[in-house]
Amino acid sequence: MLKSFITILLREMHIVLNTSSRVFMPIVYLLLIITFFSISLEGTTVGGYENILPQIIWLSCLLVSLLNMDSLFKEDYEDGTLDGIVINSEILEISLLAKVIAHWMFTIIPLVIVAFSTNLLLTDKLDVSIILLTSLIIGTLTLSLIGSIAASLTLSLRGNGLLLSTIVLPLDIPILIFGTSAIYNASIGMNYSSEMLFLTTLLIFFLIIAPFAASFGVRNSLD
Amino acid sequence: MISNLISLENISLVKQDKEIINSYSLQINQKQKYNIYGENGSGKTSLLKIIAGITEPTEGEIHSNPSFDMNKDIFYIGHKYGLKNELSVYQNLEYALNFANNNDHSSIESELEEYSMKKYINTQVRYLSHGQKKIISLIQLTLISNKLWLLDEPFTGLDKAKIDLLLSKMDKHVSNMGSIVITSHNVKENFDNIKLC
Repeated sequence: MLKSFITILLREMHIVLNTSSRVFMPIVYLLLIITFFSISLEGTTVGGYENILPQIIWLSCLLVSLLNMDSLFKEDYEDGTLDGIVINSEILEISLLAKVIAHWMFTIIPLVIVAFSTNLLLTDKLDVSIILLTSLIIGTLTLSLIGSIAASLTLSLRGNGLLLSTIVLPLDIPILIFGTSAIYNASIGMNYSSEMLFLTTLLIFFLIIAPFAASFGVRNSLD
Repeated sequence: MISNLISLENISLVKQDKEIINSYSLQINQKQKYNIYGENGSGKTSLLKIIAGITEPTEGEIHSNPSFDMNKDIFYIGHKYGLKNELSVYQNLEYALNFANNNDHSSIESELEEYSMKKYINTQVRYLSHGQKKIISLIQLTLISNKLWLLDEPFTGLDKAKIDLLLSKMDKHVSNMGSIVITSHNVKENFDNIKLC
């Protein structure tokens, strides 16, 4: 069981190493969104632009992580490797969880590191940047788990991106609200532990249900 | 002793109000090669997917021998090759072996040599032709050597020499207590031919 989990992780790592655009394109998009926000809001924000920068970075990360969510199982579905995973997995839920973790580790985590570095560079506030990093790590993993449910349900549909975003966005809103609230509270010196606790609760909830829901969705899409 | 691996009993499949398979029964025994043949749309691929456990039949039952593990003992190759375009030939075969809990990678090179594909060992699969991809996909069969091979039109896209080589691999697999179910459009020599209407 652990062997197949590690095998899938290593395979995804090799794919990412062979196609570096998967890692760099989201980072370019993230930096573009942050730059455009900076240009459009510079001088118009009361109290300085850097006060709302962490929230902007959080929102940008959410938008960029949505971009490639539809490819989570799509490529495996189209090249037939998903058939092999479904037939030969001892526990399909574990194999699908490995796919989600791999997607998060090799596509989203580089994005989170760039977001943390950008915030630290532009605001020079280490404490707020660390809260941003922590909330993004918890939040983006939850977003990936939610995305895996929608990606599995829309797997066999052509042009599934729009439907996937429609399913995912309402579920992402609580994570966005609590993620940005935690950073805002941290930046004005208030307690942010309740927001972080709520984000962690959501992560645990989706960590439990997402693999089962995705497994159901994948089986239905292949049927 | 030759034993039964899987039994399909009165299997029916209905998709979008269209009856694809109607009350079909089949026994898959050890040391047998089956060729399910029929016209386009007769349900050959669907039947193979039901045996593989990918598709759930609308009606009917599937029983397997207690010694036969539906997760570990089946290798299925459909119309898609099950290969990652971004990985090299070697990485794809290595991944297939690792996923099947087989750590012996020593035979990868010899198998590629047998199919005259060794020169592509470090080539990314995306640069191979359809026929070459199919060969790599079929090499996985002999490397992993699961008890039951389920192959959807395995000879399509292969030249005569590769077909002969594949047939000899199939005979060897069957002599080692394995079983094979293939689909095709016509009757095949040395196979138990089963027509699907």
